Amino acid sequence: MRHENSGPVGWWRGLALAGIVAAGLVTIVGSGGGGFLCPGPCEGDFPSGPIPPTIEPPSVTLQVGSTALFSVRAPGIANPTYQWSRATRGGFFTAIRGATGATYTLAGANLGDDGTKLFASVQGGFNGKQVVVDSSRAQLAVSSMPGVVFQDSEFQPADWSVATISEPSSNGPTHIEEQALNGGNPGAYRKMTIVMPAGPTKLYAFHTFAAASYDPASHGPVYLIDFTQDCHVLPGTLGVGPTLLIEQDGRRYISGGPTLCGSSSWSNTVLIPGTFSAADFLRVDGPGCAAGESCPNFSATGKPIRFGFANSNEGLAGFAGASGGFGIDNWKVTVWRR
Amino acid sequence: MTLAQTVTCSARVRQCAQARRAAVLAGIGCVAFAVGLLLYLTDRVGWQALLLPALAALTGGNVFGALGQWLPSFVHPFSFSLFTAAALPPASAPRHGACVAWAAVNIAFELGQHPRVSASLAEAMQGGLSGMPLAQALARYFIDGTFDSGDIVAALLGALAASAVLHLVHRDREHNHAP
Repeated sequence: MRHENSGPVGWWRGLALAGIVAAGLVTIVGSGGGGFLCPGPCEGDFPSGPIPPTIEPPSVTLQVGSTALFSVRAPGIANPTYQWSRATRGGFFTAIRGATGATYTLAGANLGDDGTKLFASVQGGFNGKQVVVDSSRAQLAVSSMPGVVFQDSEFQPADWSVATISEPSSNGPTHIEEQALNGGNPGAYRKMTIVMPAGPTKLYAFHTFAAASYDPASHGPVYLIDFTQDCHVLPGTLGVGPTLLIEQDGRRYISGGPTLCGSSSWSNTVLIPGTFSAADFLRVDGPGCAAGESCPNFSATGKPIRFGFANSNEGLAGFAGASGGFGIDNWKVTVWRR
Repeated sequence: MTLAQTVTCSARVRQCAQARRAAVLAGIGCVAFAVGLLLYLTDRVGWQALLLPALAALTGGNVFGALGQWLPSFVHPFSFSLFTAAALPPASAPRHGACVAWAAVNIAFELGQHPRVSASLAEAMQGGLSGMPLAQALARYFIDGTFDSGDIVAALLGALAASAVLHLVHRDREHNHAP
């Protein structure tokens, strides 16, 4: 008598079983666990889970001995209770004993706290049932030296230079930048007006603050760069995504995102992740980098670095053309050293 | 009819009955799976499931009501237990073992979403296991998924229901084809 598992029948059976097991596992993961949550406000959606709690600020860099304060926001969760957890660099998360409030304060930070990640588990009511939802992650960087700050909220025309790249170069997009004396957050701000002709077109604008120059050779190697600015869009403009710009050795780099400046009222655009290392920058202009070359070079051998912000716009084929603009205020870069 | 011919004929009848049983199990599993799929298309918004596109015309409904919260956790072990049993040899023990195995898998994945372990599991997925297929999706599953003890109960009930179906189908067929 032939055994049931021998021969072609057994072979097909094994193949079918493997397929079923794989499909079963993929289906579980693909189902989302019943609580994949909206990455942002989702008007018109009816989520079966609450919006994920977020931690403010998402990243903090401070000097040794300083105090970091984080707060968690959990919209839509009734009677929330909190439990904060932290992980040191490369370690696993563990609950912080006694950290059960909506805020968490880390006093007297030391270099051992550098690279710490935090999140809060929020438990409470949602749609009549108890849920436990983890917040977004926050990160902490600690430096032994004070930060070097470059900032501007006046935007005198002489303090800023701009370089634009328009495609096509003739009859292509145009970009006008100026100091607006009123309407900022508060007072003066830098106003950008963009005209995009019918597509396909591209526009890149690199704005550099003349006073913001950092020389790693004399000031010391760069560990991290914090960047923040306020922005708003002009009427008729849906949104722009201004990013952090650095210039070094004839090359331009940008970093930051995803972020969107999409409101006609002023808002702070903390670029994600908010704190940038050399690896977070992308070269967008200038000569290519040789093999083994650090681009950008934040070490003591690096050339002087200048800072600013950049914006880019693109009109695809079939795009009928548009005009709009945005404003920037309270531009601030903090360079951290080890 | 010779003895050899009798044995061959009995074997064919048995194989045919086994194929019918497998088809019945797979059919029931498919129907249940389709119900689960329908729930995701109607009651869950598109971004909740990696494998399903957002269908604006269908999402945002409430076809399944409160039952929709736990139905997927019931349907998954139920249908995949039946699929697995349909593909297994006809011996009784492995068939019911499939129900136990899928219940365990579903419960393990649900436990992985518990806040006490979800972050560590996700870190492991994004760290040392980042090269593994589905590692990023798994990390998102553990972090963004919501732990619910009701899902564990639903998974157990789903596996139990599958076991009951297996029992009924095999008892019925054995009764009908008894010599």
